[in-house]
Amino acid sequence: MQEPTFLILTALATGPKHGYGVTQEVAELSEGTVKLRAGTLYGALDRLVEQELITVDRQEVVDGRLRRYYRLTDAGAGRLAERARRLRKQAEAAESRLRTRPNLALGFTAGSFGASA
Amino acid sequence: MTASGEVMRKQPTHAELERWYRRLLWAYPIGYRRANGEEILAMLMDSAEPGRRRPSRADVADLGRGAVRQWFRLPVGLSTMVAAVLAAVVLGAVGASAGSWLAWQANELPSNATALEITETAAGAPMTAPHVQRLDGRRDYWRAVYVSDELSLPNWTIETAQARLRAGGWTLGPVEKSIPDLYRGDERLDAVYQVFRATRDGHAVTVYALTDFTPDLAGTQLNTDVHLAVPSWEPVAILLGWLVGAVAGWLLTGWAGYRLRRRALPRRLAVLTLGLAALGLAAFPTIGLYHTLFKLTFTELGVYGTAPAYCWVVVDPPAMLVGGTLAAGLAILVLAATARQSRGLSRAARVYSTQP
Repeated sequence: MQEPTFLILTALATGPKHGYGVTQEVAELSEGTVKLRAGTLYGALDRLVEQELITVDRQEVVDGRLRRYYRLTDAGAGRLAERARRLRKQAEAAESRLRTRPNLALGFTAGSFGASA
Repeated sequence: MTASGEVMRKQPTHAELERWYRRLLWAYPIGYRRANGEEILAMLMDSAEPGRRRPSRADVADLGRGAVRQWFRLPVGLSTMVAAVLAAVVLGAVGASAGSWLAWQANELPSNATALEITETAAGAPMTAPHVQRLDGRRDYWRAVYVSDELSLPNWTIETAQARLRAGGWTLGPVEKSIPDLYRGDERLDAVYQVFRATRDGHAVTVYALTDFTPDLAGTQLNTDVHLAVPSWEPVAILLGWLVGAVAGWLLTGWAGYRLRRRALPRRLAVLTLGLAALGLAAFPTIGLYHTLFKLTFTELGVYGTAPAYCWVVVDPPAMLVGGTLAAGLAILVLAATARQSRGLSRAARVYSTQP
């Protein structure tokens, strides 16, 4: 699962959102590093609908414009949870190894100073 | 939302921007645009900066990429991906052959009289009883006028023949010499077989000369085939034909894949059977075509050249196999086109088909 897909699923985890809402949420989640434009976003949404990870919740016409709201399916929530679990595990492994990284300059390991647990 | 509501929408800048976005959305496949165009437009307008009259370059590029992705999109799954690649390879081969055929149709063969004249120039003497055979049908894979004569030419040499042709404006190619195994009773004849090719104005002549040095048989028997030179733009035609065929193969597979998704098992089994049959039928001509293209591109062909790429679609049996492949492909498309929506379709797909 690529980062934009992960972020889209995460954005929808709190409830149904329309396309523009998803892009705003994704920008916020990624601290502005991932900015989804319409062509990319709808390509990803279509693919996720096809994989049944998200589905169309409802559609509304606001000010003459069509808004389609997407929501996470159970399968999508499961996939997101699984991905989050893996990422957490990998992040923990990375942090754990960083703590034991030898300080080559002084001949100490980070753990010798009781670095943050 | 940076700009919304009827008031904002009536602003001229907003209307102009919307027109631009609508134009860009025309790049998408029509079915997709009908189902999702208004929704994408809403997001584009929502995210547009106030006062913007035209889409940003980034938006144009993004929509362009999105449109290309939609055109070439395939249903999720390895099987459709494999089918699309195979269809692109096979129809690419058919397209390349068709491109080659079109390139070769651009020139006309010289008349029989001209072919005889060319042969006499090579011979250096008039033919006494020429035999002329013309193969110029649209399905003749090697269109040529063959000229031969029983006449034995004394003192004929390849150098003088080439000099006469060169004087006539022909460009000469390499010469291939061989010693033939010719016997009169138990006596092996002292002979040499020489072949060379010359080209001029889109035409080519291949001269075959058998020179016998045996004292009582001394002389040269000469025959020619006057044919079309390889068209200079044939590689471009092959490439364009391949691209058209490959893209068509990919797009049709994607279309059929979506039409057949979640359809009744018998229909999908019928499509699988037809697909395997098409693949089996296509194997020989497809491999043959790519082998020919490889030879044309990467090998020295010598004086005899090689069969043109189009022979794989005009000469039987490969042409029959290609016909069978296309018939099976057409049957798959008919099965896809006539597939009805089943009750198993997802809710999402049903919502997608609902117009606001």
